[in-house]
Amino acid sequence: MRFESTRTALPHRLVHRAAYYTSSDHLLEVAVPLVEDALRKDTPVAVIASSPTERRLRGVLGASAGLIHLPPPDARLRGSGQAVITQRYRVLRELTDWAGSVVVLAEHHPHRPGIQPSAWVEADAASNVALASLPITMTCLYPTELEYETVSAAVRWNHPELVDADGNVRPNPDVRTPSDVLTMFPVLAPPRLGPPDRELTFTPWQLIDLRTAITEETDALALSRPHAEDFVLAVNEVASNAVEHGYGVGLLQIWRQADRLICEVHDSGSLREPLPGLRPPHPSSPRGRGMWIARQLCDLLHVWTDARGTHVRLQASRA
Amino acid sequence: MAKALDEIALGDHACVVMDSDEQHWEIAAGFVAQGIRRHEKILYYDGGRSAEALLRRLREDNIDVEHYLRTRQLDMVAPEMTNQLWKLSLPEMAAVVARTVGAALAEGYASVRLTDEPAGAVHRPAGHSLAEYDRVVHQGVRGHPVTLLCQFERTDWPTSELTELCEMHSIEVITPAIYDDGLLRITRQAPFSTRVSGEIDFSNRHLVRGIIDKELDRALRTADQTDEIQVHLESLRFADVTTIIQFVQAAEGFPQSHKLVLYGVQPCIRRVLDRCGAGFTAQLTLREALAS
Repeated sequence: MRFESTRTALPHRLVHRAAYYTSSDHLLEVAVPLVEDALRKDTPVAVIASSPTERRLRGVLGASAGLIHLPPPDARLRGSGQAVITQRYRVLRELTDWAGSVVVLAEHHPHRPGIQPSAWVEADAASNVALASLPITMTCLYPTELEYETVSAAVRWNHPELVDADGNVRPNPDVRTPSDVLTMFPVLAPPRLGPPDRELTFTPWQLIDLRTAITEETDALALSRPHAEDFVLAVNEVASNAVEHGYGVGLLQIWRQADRLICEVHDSGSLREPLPGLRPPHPSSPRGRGMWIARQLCDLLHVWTDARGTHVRLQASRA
Repeated sequence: MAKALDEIALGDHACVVMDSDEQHWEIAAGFVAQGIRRHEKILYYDGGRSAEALLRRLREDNIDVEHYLRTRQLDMVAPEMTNQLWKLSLPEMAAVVARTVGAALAEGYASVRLTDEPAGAVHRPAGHSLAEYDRVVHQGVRGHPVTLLCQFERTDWPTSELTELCEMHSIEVITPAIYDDGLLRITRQAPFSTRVSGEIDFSNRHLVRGIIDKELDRALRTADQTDEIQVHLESLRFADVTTIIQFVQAAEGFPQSHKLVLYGVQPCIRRVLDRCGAGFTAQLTLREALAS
C-alpha cells in the first residue's frame, strides 16, 4: 500500500459542484462540455460513472479523449460513505500526485443495492472533508427527480457550487458545513453482525491485551505480517482514542468471517467532529494523525455515534 | 557483591532477581551472548517457556541464533526437561551436573556456561528447597571451568526464600534501568546511547516522552564529543502513532549540529515513521542494528 507524506500542508483546493440532468441524453449534454473544456486546458478528466454512461461518454468524445476510468467503490465498503471516500482519496491523491489538477465527473447511482439514502449524504459530506486539500474540480451529476428527499438534501447542502442548465457555475447559497450536514443526517450504524466471537473490555493499561487478542486473530486468519501489524496498529489507535475520550474504559468486539476480521471499538464518549481522521493532519499538529493513519491502514473504518457513545467498526480482509 | 552482566567472569556463580519480562530477556540474552563471544558451551534451562522471547531478543541483538543452535554451542533445554530436574534427589542432581559439565567439555569447549529459570522448584516437587539444589550444583561445578547464573523472577518466590537464595550467592547481577514499567524498559548503554525495549502505548507514552526528552537533553548538553545521539530500537516491538510523532518532533527540535540516530528500527515501527514524515526530518537518521 502506498502512503503519502503529510509533510506539506496543501491549501484547500477542492472545488465541489453539483449539476442536474433530466435524462440520460441530457446527462451527456451536461457532461460533454465539462470534459471538452477541461481537455482543451490539458487538464486530465477522471470519470466515476455506470458502465453504460461511461461507454456513451467515450462514444461521443472519441477514443482519443483519454478519459481516466475510476472504478466504482469496493462492494465491501457499500453503505459507508466515509469508507468509500477514504478509498477514493487514496486513488485521487495518487492521480493528482503525477497529473496535477484533475477534473472529476461523478454520476449518482440511484439504485445501488444495500445503500441507505443517508450514505449519499455521508459520502458527499466526507468528500468535502477528505478531498479538501486535493487539486480537484469534482462535478457530481444528479438526476433532477431524486428519489429521496435525503439525497436531495445532500445535493443542496454539500455542494458549494452549482452548474446551471446553461453550463454556468454559480455559488450555492444553501451549502452547509459537513458538521452541520451530519448533525441533520447522522452517520448510520453499519448492519448488525450478531453476537461477537470474542469480547474484551479494556482500560489504558490493558491495551496490550487488546493488541495480543487482535494479533491472535490476524494469525488465525493468516494475514500477511505487515498487514496484520498495520491492523493491530489501527485498532490500537482507535482503542486509544476510546479510553482517552470515553471515560477510561472501552469495549472491543471481534467477529471472525471466512476471509476477513471485523472489530468494533465502543466507548461512552462523544465526538467533536463527526468524521475523525478523514482530513490529512497538518504537519505541525501532534494530534489527529492516529485516526487518519488508522483509516489508511484498514479495508474499512466506519465511525458513528448514538446515545450510548461512539462506535468504530474496522475490517481487515485476506488478500 | 554486585556486578554488571559484562563483569561476570569464568567460574562465577551469580544470581539475578528480575522484575519485568524485558529485564529478563535483556539479562538472559546478555548472558548467552557473552558465552557465544567467549566460545563457551551454553546450556539454557528454560523453566518459564521463555525460549521464544529469548531467541527473539538474541536476533534483535544481531546474533545468528540459528547458527549457534545448529552447532549446538547453544543448547536450549525445554521446560519439560528443566522441570524434571526439581523432581530429582540431591545425589541424582549432583550426578546430572557432573554428567552435563563433563559432556560439554568432551565436545571440545574450554568452558561451560549454565543458566536456569528455576520457577518449577518453588513448590518443591521432590521435597527439596531450591537452596538445597543450589548447594549441590555449586559443589558440582567447583573446580570446573563453569560460569553459572541463577535467574529468579521476583513474583515467583516468597520474599524470605528469595532473600535466602540471594544471600547464598556471592555475586548478584545488577541491571540498572532508567525506566521499567513491565511493558517498556529504557536503559542507558553509553553516555549518548539509550536502548528502548518493549512497547509504548497510551498507558505509558506520557512518561516515556518525559524520560526520552530528558535523556536527549542530557546528551545534548554534554555532546561536545559527539554529534549523534543514539537510540537503539532493536527491541521496540510496538509504538503508537503519537509516540512516533514525538520521536520525529524531538529530532526536529535538535540543533542542526546534531542528529538523532535510531538503530535497528523494526519494520512495523519503520512504516509508522515513514507515515509520520521521518524521511523529511534532516536531523533524524535510521541505521541498521549494530553487530553484537
